Amino acid sequence: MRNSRLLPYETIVQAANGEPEAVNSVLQHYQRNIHFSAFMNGQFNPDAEDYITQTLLAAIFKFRFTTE
Amino acid sequence: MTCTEEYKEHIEYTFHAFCKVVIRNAKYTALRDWGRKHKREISLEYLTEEKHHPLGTNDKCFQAPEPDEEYILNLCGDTVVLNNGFLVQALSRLPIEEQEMLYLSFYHRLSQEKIGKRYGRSRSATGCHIRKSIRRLYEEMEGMTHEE
Repeated sequence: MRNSRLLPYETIVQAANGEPEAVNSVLQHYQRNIHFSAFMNGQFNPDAEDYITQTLLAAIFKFRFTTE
Repeated sequence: MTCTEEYKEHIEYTFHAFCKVVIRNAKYTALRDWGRKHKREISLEYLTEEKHHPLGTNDKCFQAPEPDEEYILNLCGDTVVLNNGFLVQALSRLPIEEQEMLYLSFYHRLSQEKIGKRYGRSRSATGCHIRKSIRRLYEEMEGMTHEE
């Protein structure tokens, strides 16, 4: 049984190939995660949120499917 | 490569883990950068309140020079009244001929040629003398302000 809380395989492939919609759905999927990571000393830091989003955006294209 | 269900699931989990690691690392990087920035950042209010550095025009540089006593000099038979003590001291250290040259050129606005004629020199030599004495005046006055 597949885990329904994960992003579907097709979306991942499209996002890694640079499809804007798929990339957007990836960012939306991890939006809450990013938001809670951007809390610093109990205070929300919008700069940190931007930085994390940018880093994730750059990292999506670096994801490699081959595991060898 | 065969796209079995197992492989797809594996990729989904791998991608999820990858994204979470990226977010976590970015978070630590942002936290570190922010911490460094915060450590070095000093609020301007803190500076003005704690160290009592008033930001105003009370500084020495902003103050209008107070009118000094009046100094009287006799040059070329004329009486000159000067306000700056430093200038008078520096002037008095120059040779009388140079003092008079400066006086004629700055107060009487005589041309260098006319001043040169009066002292039996060419125009260029007069200009040279005037420039040299101005430079010496600057040096003397700077030396006096440092001595203070």
